Amino acid sequence: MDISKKQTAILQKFAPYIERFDARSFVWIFLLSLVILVGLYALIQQIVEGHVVTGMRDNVVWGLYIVNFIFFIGISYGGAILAGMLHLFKVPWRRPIMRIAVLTAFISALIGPIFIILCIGRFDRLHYLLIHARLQSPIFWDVVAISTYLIGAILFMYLLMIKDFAIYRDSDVLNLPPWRRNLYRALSLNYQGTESQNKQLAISKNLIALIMIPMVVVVSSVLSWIFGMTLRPGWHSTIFGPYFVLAAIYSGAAVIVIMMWIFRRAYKLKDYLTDKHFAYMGYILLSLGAGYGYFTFSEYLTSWFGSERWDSEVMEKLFNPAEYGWWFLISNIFSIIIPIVVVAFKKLRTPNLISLAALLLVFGMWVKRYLIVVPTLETPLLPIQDTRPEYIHYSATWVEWALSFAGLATFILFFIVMAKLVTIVTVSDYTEKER
Amino acid sequence: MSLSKIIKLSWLICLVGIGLSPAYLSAQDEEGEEPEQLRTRASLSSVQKNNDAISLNMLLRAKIDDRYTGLPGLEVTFYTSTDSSEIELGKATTGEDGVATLTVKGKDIPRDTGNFMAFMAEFEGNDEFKGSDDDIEVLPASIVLEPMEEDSSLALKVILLGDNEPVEDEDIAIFVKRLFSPLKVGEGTTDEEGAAEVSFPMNLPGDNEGNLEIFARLEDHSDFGTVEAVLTKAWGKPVNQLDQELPKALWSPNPPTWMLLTFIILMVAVWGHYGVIIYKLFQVKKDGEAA
Repeated sequence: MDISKKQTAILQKFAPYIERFDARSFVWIFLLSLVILVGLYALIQQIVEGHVVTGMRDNVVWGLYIVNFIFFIGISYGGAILAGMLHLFKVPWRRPIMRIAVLTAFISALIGPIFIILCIGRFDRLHYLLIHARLQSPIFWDVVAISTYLIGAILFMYLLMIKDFAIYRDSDVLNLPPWRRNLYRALSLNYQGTESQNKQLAISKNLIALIMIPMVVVVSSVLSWIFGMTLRPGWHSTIFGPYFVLAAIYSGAAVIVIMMWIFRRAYKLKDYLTDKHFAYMGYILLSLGAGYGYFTFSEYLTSWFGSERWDSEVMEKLFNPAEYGWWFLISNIFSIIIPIVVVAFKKLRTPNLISLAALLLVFGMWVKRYLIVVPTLETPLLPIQDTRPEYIHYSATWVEWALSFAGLATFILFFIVMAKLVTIVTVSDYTEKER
Repeated sequence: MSLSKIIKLSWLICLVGIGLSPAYLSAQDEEGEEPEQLRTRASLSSVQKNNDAISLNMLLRAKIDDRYTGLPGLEVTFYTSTDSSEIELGKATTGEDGVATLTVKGKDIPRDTGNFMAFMAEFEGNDEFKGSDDDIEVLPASIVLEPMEEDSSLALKVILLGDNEPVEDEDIAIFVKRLFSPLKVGEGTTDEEGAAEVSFPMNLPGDNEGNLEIFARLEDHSDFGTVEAVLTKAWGKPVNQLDQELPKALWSPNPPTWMLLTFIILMVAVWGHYGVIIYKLFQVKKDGEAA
């Protein structure tokens, strides 16, 4: 197929990064693999000793694993919905961002559910979820929603890569080993750039982008309903559905900004990921941050004002500096105040500061997920007989931390590997007429 | 000081030294740490049933962590005794609750001059627990249970016979067997003829044919022990849970219709899109081959 001069120039720019693994990549892969190996050792400990090696007990049955699950799945949903919207509305500045967005969606969707599996005490009964499925159970909804979504995320990513696979296959600029050419040949589905193929692909991409947007809203709401459908204080809230949807898009957009900053520096992509792209993503963060801040205020104001006995207990824990007060404050400052302030003032609206704000935002959102899960479980509705502190208060063990960091390391490792297989910028989107 | 005195004194010092040495002390401690046998407490009781069966129940407990706890898996030997001899009735092993049960026939049990039946149960002890025993004496007794059906009411006539004589002024409770523990449904006090009438509730859930297992029970009497009679009557409401049509509800196995429809619509919408996209991908491949 024909490859334009512009596309050839982009391939030349990216050739060193996708043709081979350089020393810096190997060092990163080695370090990340070490973190993953420590996680694997922790996993073996958990399998051999059982969940007693975690901080989870009868009272606080969910901990870091569920927090990480919501965190990664949220990032994935955010990446998918942003990619879907940017594609569907043909946003002109989307081209260098689309690949990062769909990779974020895909990789996070692979890692998130692993944390659910880590959380399951009786792994041998996992298939009961399907053979004894109850349609009325939010857990079943989530299983169906996430597996359906994962297929969609894979399809979305693949559809946006087919033209690029054909370009890699046919390009003379790239010096690739035969197996890589064969791989691209298989993945490109004989794409030759014919009118009919372009039409079929355009319809497919529009369809997947169209379906991903409502699907993310539904699956993100379903995730929130695992909490919202219970009668626990701090969870049983009608706002939880939209709150989770917004939080997912918000954290996903922030991770995209962070990945943009990393690749801009690592691959020297200032010509592609320009200050303008960071500013536009900053505006998206500002809008979402304002919405998220409003939802947070509305959620906690309602619970606090109602002064219902059990809600008040959770509120007291969140507002008390001796318990989770400081974390609650940090979470809100990092995830609401700082991103809004950084983007609102023109002098602060630089790629570095927006990316730093996005990093703090992501950390703040992780803390927020922890504050959703743990304080509620530490507030039992019924008095329990054996009130040993370790039964009531949750404290994550080294096993849980090791596996959490292994999850983060896997996310980065997958990104590094994927960035070696495909260009981080969608080459096929850059045509001569559309510069 | 003579040499012999010095030698004797040296020996004495050695012996005292050895006697007070840490090794010797620790050896003493180890001897002292040998696990002691725990004392056990035995309680024997009987239940006389209306088919001449007598159920002997021996509860074996020990004080563990300051709480009396039933001891499972221990062998108990049951005896009956007369004025002159002791006859072994059999052995039974305690269950999870620490109770060993042996059922015997009343007609096989010898009586003493006062017509009492004497029972004894013994746990001989083992490495962990000391032995213990208990004995009881009971007079033969029985409850006759007669169902009484009238137009719109149900009742039970209960006659308590102790040593073949009517027993007056005793409280007899009526129970119905349920899944976990018996449900008490009534109580009556026997008159001079040993009889009592107890009304019985209607529409209790029974089995598939409405059968209920009804018990009349005299609890822990000083002369008779526990006396019990059982009767099965089709006085309940037939319940067949397997055949019962459960409503479409959140709690039932059948989801509400709207929920099922929503699920199907969502799944068809999403997977339908996936299907169209995969079909289009095949078309792309086919067009490429043609080109």
